[in-house]
Amino acid sequence: MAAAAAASKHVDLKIVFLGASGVGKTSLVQRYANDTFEPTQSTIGAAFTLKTWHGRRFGVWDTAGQERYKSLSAFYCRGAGAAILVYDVTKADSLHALDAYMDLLASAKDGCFKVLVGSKLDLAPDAREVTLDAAREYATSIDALHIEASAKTGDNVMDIFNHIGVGVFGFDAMTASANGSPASTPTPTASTSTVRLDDDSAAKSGSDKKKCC
Amino acid sequence: MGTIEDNPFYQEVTTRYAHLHGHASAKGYALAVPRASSLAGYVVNEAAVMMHVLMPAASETEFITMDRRHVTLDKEHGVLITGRGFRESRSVGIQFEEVFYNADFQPFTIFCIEEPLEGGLSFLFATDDDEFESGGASGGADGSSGGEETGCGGAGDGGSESSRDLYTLDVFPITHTYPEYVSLLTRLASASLVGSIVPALCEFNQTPINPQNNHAYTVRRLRALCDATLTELEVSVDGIREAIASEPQYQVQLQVAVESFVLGGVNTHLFAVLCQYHARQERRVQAGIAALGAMGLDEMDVRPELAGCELGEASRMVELLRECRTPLEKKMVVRATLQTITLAVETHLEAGAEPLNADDMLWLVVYVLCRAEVSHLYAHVVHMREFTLYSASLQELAYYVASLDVAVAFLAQRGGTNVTSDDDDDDDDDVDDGGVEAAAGWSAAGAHELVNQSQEAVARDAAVTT
Repeated sequence: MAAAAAASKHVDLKIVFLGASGVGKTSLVQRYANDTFEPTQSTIGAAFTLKTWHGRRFGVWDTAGQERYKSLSAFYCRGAGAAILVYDVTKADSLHALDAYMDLLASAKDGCFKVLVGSKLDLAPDAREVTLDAAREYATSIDALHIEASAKTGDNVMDIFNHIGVGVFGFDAMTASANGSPASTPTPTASTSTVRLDDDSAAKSGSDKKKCC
Repeated sequence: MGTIEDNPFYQEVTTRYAHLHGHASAKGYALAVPRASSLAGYVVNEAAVMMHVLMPAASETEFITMDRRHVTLDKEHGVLITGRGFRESRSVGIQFEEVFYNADFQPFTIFCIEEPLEGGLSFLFATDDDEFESGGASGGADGSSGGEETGCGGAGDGGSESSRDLYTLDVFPITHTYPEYVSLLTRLASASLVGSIVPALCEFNQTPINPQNNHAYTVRRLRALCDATLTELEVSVDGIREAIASEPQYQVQLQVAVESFVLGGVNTHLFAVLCQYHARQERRVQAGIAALGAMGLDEMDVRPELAGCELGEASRMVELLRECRTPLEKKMVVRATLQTITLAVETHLEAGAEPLNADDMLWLVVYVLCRAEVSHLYAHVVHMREFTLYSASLQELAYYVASLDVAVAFLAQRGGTNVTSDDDDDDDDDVDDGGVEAAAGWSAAGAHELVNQSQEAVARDAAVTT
């Protein structure tokens, strides 16, 4: 009966991770699955995670990242309400490799909320290849929010999902809920699917946890 | 209990289709007459009659129907077994056989059988009290008069248990099997009310399916059937509206139950069409399996530490697809398969190893499919993906289906390079592999074809979900 109950879980928001192989998608999913106050209800390794965010159910889908399977990722994107596009801040090529994934989002929901995530932020001080400006410009071009995060340290990982939750469901969804204890309070947004955060000082500060731009 | 003369099928044969009856009796052909209760909603038309006229064939136990299908008589077990030409092999019990005589006093046999040789939904409402009475002339079993739609003869009300007691969410866990859903709905609403949808299901089963537009038209027809059933339930059964108002989840569960009821009722007809329509893609999938079947995990594109993973149980699990009637049942099988894979991997990997990711999963599912004996994989995927009428929001199940979808698409692409031109000469999108993609049997162009098929369904999915 427990298995049956798990299978019957409805998902309020489907989130897909997209990005080239090796950029750290799986690690980010793992960090999110294991490191939040909200319980993880179901996982298939790191390939699928079902969690609650302030009473809303997020279904987080990892996708195959290898180049030759890229087209297959469209199967995972069907009906996605949010997409997390991941690049590696230490690999310049990984940012523009995301161009190829944008077409796949045609099968996502209209107005799919996009977040561009620079991963491996912990390595940025010594090995950064993608500047904040370049990433920000790219995010603008694809109508996405930009965040840098580290699965290793956990920096900003929760913020990715908090921003998505607020961006999709509105700020009220977070404030109205007594459940959970978010790591930070995202900027309130309008009901549009695109969020712009202007926090340059935070982004440029290596010690600051908020690196949204 | 009724005589053969009371049987609506027989009445139709001897009146509206008297020419067929006259021809069959003159030639000494046998006639199979389904019992009355099995005719709930069954359309007795000329095609149905011709399907039940049995002409002698190579031996005394073999027959060919007037529409050229094959039937075998198993005397030992007292059954007629349908064969070539029928959508499924069905073993139909013979209640009794009776010898009649034509105008020339030549004998011809009538087999009184448990259900139609094809079509019909008697398994839903079979009872023990509606058998023919051989000879005699007692009252008709269902009193129906053999029109186009015969109603629900034989469906008892099944309502000894208070239906109000069943208005709890516990009776509608969303992962029931098809027979369980039939039972639940029948207990909830009474068999006669649930059975009121049967004529529509029978009509669906006896009309051609147009698979164009990625099955959109068929989906709309089935969705309309479900909507009508739900409306009838809400209007006719006390308490349902109140239950829905107090607990929205109840409505979802009721929808899934009705969806399973409808899709289970049309499964044989629908799935046969899916298999036929997607035969070309299935050839590609099977060619892909043939190409990759001999490869071990260590030869596939998985991490070395996964190479020794034991996945035999997962292959046996996915073979259960063959026994499923509804898309929901199939999704549960796929879910169990992927969870078995996950468990096998987690057992195999050492602590601290990188967890299973989507790249791994693709190859592991491909490996499992290559070792399972499941035909019509492509049709199964389409069945699950396209014929989800209300349960689209069960996204956890959607993940499992997508994983299978990706693996089958991958196999189809791999097999696309191996299907010969004779097998696949109508393909204009065959593969132009090169470099690394050729090594993996992968074609982006072919993938886009498959992806486009998937994307066409998105708009409809969105409409269905809302």
